[in-house]
Amino acid sequence: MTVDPRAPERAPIRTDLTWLRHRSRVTAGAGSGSRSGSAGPGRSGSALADFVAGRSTARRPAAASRPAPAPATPEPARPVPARLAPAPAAAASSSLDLSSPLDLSAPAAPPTTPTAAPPTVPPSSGSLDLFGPSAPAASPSPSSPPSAPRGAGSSSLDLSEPLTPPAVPARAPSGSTSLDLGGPAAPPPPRPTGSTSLDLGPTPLRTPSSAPSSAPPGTGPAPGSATSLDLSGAAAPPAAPATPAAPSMRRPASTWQEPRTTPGVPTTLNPRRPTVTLTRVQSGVGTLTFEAIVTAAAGDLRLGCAYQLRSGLASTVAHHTGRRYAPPGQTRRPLIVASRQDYERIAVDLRQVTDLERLVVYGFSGNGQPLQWGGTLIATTFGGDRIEMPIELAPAPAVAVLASVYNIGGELIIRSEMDLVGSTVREACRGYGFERISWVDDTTPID
Amino acid sequence: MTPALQRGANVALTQEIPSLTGVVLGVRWNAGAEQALSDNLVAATILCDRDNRAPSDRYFVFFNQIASPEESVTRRSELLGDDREQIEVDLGDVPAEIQRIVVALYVNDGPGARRTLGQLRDCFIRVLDQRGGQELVRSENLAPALRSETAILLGELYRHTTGWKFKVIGQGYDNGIAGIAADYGVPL
Repeated sequence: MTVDPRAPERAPIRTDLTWLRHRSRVTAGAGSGSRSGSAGPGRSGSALADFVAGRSTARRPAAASRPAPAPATPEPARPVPARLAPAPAAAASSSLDLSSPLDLSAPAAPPTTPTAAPPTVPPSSGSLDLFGPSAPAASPSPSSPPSAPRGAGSSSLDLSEPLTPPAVPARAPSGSTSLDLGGPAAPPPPRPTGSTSLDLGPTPLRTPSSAPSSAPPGTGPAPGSATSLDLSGAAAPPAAPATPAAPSMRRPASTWQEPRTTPGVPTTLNPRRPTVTLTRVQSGVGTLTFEAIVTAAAGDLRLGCAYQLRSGLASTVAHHTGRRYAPPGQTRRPLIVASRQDYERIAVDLRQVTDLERLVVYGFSGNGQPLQWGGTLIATTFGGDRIEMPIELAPAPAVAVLASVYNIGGELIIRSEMDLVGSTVREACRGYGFERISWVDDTTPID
Repeated sequence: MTPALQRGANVALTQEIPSLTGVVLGVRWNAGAEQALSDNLVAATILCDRDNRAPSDRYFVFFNQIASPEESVTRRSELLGDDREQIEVDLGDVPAEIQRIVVALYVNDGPGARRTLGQLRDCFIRVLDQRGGQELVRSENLAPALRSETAILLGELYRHTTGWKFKVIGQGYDNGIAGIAADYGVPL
């Protein structure tokens, strides 16, 4: 579900792609559903996972931060109106609907010219004529800079050009999708109309949670170019204010794909690329192991694992404390086993992965002396793919959550956490939402 | 009760039953008192193209991926009869590039004690008509020939000029599902 929001990031690229982006949005919503169909619960779970974890994933934070930049641009939109006006006239010759929308935007133009563009895009074929007219509009210097599209000429690209100029400033924020205008216009008024694709873009920005749900159903965009036109017009007035909100959307890229492992090449997780998603096959065959590869220089680093099962059961395992099997006392067929060979190891029986909801792997000092940390936590799939998570933390007498694993629709998402979260195992677990665990003391859960 | 098919024997399903639109592949086993073995057994279905390769990991259907992308092959969650696993195949929906559908049984290599298929008392694969559930074909007991194997190819549905055919394979693997995945190009 998160995929859609990312589209904004690519906003700068506007070209032919703008049109594609629109489509991608819509499909994204549908896509998530299809996935779930193949294997159980849908992707929606990923958001849940983040939420449950009580931490914002990289995606969310980014989105929030980015928005700010975009807002500043409201003014730029004004110039656009003039351009738009010319375009409408030309448009009149061809697809009436398109042209009409353009006109609307023109009036509105003062606030947000971008809107005009959005309508054109969706219409596609019909809009062709419009584009022609629009091209002239493009000539106005303002649009040219932002729009790479120029080359496009008659095609939809042209449209984007005119639009883009205005949009660019404001757009960035809305970025969610096709730069098309939709971004600028959408933010403000679009929601109400909601019917068009343009609207969808903006709405998501404002209210991420609501937007996704609406968007998919929102097939509305398809309804017709005519609607989009209306939207643009409406949007125009409010657009200026809305733009600020739009920025938040930026992050998401419509084409975002989940990071996967690569056979034969270790996958390194770091703050810029903190997660990797195992396929359902990787998540359900053999054993998934975590090993802390460290030297004595790091101190007496030990591993533990806090887990939560579908049944609601939550507890911990750690070889150092003698709690080696999960669920507690399940030695015949454990789901998780903590052991120590060359290094501390946590092994997850993937035959039982459907019973697993989530787990975190934490590191702590076995001898009570402060840890220097260091080394690498390595997760290994049954097929031998390695996921490396460098342990880079400041020396501290604390417990650190090193990695988390969430079972989302049958796919395990491994995330490098590297989070000094508390001074005891109990604090670390509570910090990651394991409220179901009751404690005997700071390191021992009640079985 | 239909006569048991020996290893390597095949039957022309759609030629003999022109009205056949879908089948259920039933897998059953008896591990006796070896509950740990029974708990760790997994039936997996691999859809293969003309080169005998799975187009992607999505064409490996098992408990954690219960359908192929186009859902022509699905794992039944509600079993009918005495089978331990059942896989439904809508023959008409199988993508044209899929030439064969192989059913394997393997011992998951978990953190616990290692088990082998040699401890199985019985092991069968059978084919049912998706409509009505009538048994069309049943394999011989494949368990007696197993020793240290940790995976076995039970049988396969495959396209032939006469339509869909079914063959009993019964080939064991000492290196488990890893060996089968390697043979069929399934990325683990």
